[in-house]
Amino acid sequence: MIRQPIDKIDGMAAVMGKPMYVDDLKPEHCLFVKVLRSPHAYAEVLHINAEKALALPGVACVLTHEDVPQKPMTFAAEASPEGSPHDRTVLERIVRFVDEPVAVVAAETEAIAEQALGLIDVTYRVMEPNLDFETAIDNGNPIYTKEQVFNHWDVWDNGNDFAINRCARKHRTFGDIQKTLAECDIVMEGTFRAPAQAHAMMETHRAFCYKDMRGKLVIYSSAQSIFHVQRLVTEGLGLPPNSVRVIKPKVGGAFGGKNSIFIEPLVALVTHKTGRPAVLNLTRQECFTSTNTRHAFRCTVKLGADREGVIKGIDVDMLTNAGAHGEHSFDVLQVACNNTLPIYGKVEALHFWGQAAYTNTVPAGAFRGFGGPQSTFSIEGAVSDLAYHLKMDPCELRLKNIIHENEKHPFVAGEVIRSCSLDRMILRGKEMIGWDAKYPCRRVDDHTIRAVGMSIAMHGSGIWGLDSVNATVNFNYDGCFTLFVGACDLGTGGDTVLLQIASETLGVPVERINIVVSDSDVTPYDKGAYASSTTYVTGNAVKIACEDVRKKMFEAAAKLYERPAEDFAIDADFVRTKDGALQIPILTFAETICRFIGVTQLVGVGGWKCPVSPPPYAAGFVELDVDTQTGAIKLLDYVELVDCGTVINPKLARIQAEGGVAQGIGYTLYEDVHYNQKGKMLTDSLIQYRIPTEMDLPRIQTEFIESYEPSGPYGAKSMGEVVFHTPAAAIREAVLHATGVHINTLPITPEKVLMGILENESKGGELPC
Amino acid sequence: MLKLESFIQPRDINEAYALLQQRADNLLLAGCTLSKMGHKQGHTGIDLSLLGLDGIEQQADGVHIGAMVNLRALEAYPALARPPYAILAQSVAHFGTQLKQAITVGGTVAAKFGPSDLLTALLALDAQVVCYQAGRQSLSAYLGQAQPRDIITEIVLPPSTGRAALQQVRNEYADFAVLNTAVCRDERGWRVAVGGRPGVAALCRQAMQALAQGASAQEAAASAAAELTFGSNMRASAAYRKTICPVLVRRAIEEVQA
Repeated sequence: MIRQPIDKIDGMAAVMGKPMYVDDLKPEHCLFVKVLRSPHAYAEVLHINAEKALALPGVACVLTHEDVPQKPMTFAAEASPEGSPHDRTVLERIVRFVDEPVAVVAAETEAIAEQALGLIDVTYRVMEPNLDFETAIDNGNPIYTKEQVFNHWDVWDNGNDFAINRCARKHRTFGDIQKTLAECDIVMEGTFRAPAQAHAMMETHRAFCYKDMRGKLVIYSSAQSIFHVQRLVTEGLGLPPNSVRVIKPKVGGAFGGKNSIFIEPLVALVTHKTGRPAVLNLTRQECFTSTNTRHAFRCTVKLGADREGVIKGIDVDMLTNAGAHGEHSFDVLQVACNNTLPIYGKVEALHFWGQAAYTNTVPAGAFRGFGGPQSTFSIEGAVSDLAYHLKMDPCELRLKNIIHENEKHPFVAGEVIRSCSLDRMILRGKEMIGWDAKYPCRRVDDHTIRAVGMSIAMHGSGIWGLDSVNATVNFNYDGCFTLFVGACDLGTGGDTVLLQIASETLGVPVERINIVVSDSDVTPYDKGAYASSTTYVTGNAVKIACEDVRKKMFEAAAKLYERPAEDFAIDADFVRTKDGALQIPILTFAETICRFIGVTQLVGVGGWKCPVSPPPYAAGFVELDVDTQTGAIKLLDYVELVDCGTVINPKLARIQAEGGVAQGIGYTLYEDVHYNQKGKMLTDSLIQYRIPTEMDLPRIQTEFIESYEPSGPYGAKSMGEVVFHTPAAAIREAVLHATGVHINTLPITPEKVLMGILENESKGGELPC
Repeated sequence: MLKLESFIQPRDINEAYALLQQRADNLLLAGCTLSKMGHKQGHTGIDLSLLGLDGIEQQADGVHIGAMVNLRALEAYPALARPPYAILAQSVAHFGTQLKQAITVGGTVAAKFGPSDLLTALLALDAQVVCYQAGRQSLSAYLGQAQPRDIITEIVLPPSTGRAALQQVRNEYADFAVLNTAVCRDERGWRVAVGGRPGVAALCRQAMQALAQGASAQEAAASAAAELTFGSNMRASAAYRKTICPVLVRRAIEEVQA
């Protein structure tokens, strides 16, 4: 089943419109929850008068900060204890961004709930917001006080210093960067920026809650980690343990945007107070303004090299916008440092200094890549500039500097890179795009220049030392298996891949295996879907659990048939001995041991903790046209090479790669965020915030060059995030080749390109061809 | 979202007009594609679907396009497939079919939406707007002045056997144009229209006069950029629009002359 391009197990059902998503499954007679949101970017809620709203027929309750514990927590649904600063509560008394929740209303219909929102009177004391992350740190206007923030400093040195609006800090060094740069023949310096990016997943955030027959709060949520949601809702509402059950049905996309608990506590709160089921579906606008975004950033890179182009030192100074709350900001800086710098293997010194600033804007959080895209755009941008300066083919420059399999890097967990096909990927990518004939550019007509550009990227697979996942597999009396995993498929096909791993390990067809997922009362502990983990981390646990149940089956067979356990094998529908002497239909074997003669239901158990985080790699190549008189860019071709170790399912892997490239293209060319001077987001709809359509995308060719990762299930690593990283720097490099313009701020709009061309002209520069 | 207290579909245009005059917050409803994306509140929505305004007819004085004709019907109408009218279908080619079936010609004109590509094309074709009370006026006059509350009944395209071309820049394929231009030359002369400034489409009269007097495409395009005003918004700056205006106008003129 490895390397088999089978369809997603729920693919046909999804396409045929079967009711599988949160909103399809909500109970009848649900209360509809609506959220009253702050119109101010920074304000204290002095008084909430809900009398008129409560008097409206059909309104069940109005809840505020007075109904929830005010002990600071974090919404980050990741580690426990979590490194993110704990700086928010389920409903706040101090609101720190426009559209932060102030109160929730639950009513018999959505219309009544909306009407009730308009009847709630709130008195605010409006305060001066910080809206610019580049000036927020140490600006004398801290937006947090000591009582409002808590940090697990015993575990995480996250550098949170709320007194100066610093949400988080990351510092890592290797060697002596000042000395190394001073000795370099060339030091390229560049400052790069990009705005916050919206996930724009197809299904907005939604959840419902009801009380089961024993009074437990059951939450169905479009979430990325059921156990973290369970833990955080329990904590956030001050409930006793074992009060909450969380179930994840089919999810219509997440990309990290559902890696924090925005709405689960709100529906649980309503059900807890009223006893009735409650549902909250965020509108698209609320998704934009009140959930989370990618971290906007500014990053200065100094790249030191010798005149042959060997990169000796990289100095990174990164500042991100944490927004109003700090979830994920520390970890994003960690990833920006640890999951990008190890791609260049000849360095003698490295320096990473990263800070995240608190501002009164939409909180930033987890988003596919998690610091990697920001760091990659900046470092690869400096590398492109180095190649341009040296008049060296950028593919050659990268080939000269990249790390190889079996080489070491001080920033890599376990030090040694055990699987890497990056060198072959660059060569193959050149072939596929026709690099040698097209580099750097050529003229098409009097106003069009065509050029190529490329970029490389790496990421991680799981979080080493932190990720814990479990899987169990039952051998049932009917000869079939049931695999229980707490993992969360986000529409990625994770469940399908786990089923393939189980099928391969057990030796039976997928039809013989049920998969039960994502239910905190039923499935064993799994950290959830983030940090590119499902195949690599949960896949390993699944493999171990399946090996365990096989071992137990053979031990049972040994007792039953009086042959040594190692003589047995499973072969599709049979348990047999390797010499062929015995061949028992698997159904018969199951019946024998589970009932009548035997009483044993065999259960395999597998647990896995990540010892390392083996990097997947990507290499992206783009061909594009630039209109030299308007600056308009037309993408013609994109080639994406991926090393994710063994490709468990080539079909699902290909669409992951295509989707990642498409999303990366959006980040590079189209997506931009605007606020007004009062901190209200103006790009709060898909009309204003442009994500690419099919018509914007070029042909995307993907190819996988397998390496073999010894620590991964059947040699697999991961790929969910790394496929996002290459478009930004590749397109920037192609535009540089076409126009001579270094565009360091995303998105790369026609205006930026044209203004760059005209500025070069005014300084006596010329177009390259 | 559009919120209304009541909703009426009159079959008689007199009734529709009377309702419109009754209250300042009574709204005419056509495709509602723009209004439902906002936060508008009105009293009575007066839906125009049953007034029989959805026909297209070729008459001696031109092509009469009912106000309720949707863009899909417009682009499929055979007599409008030839130059210069073909720029109408071209101007909306980037919309999906579902959207085209909802958007009406009359609704587009009444909205005076700044980045509208269709309005720029209609302007270059010298379209005439016919209102129930006010009668007929040029689209240029309709767009250029505030209008009393009235019901557009049809748009008339004068007969033309000329050539026309469109040029535009947008930041993303399906986005609003950062700037659009339409140029037409026929038996009645040249017309140059620029829209998305971000202001709504306007004729460049000096450029048109220059072309009539034999100016080059370059000269006329420079004149167009000089006589118009441009503004900045989230999508682009005034400076960028002013810079690309002569490029787009020149290219459109050259395409017409080719």
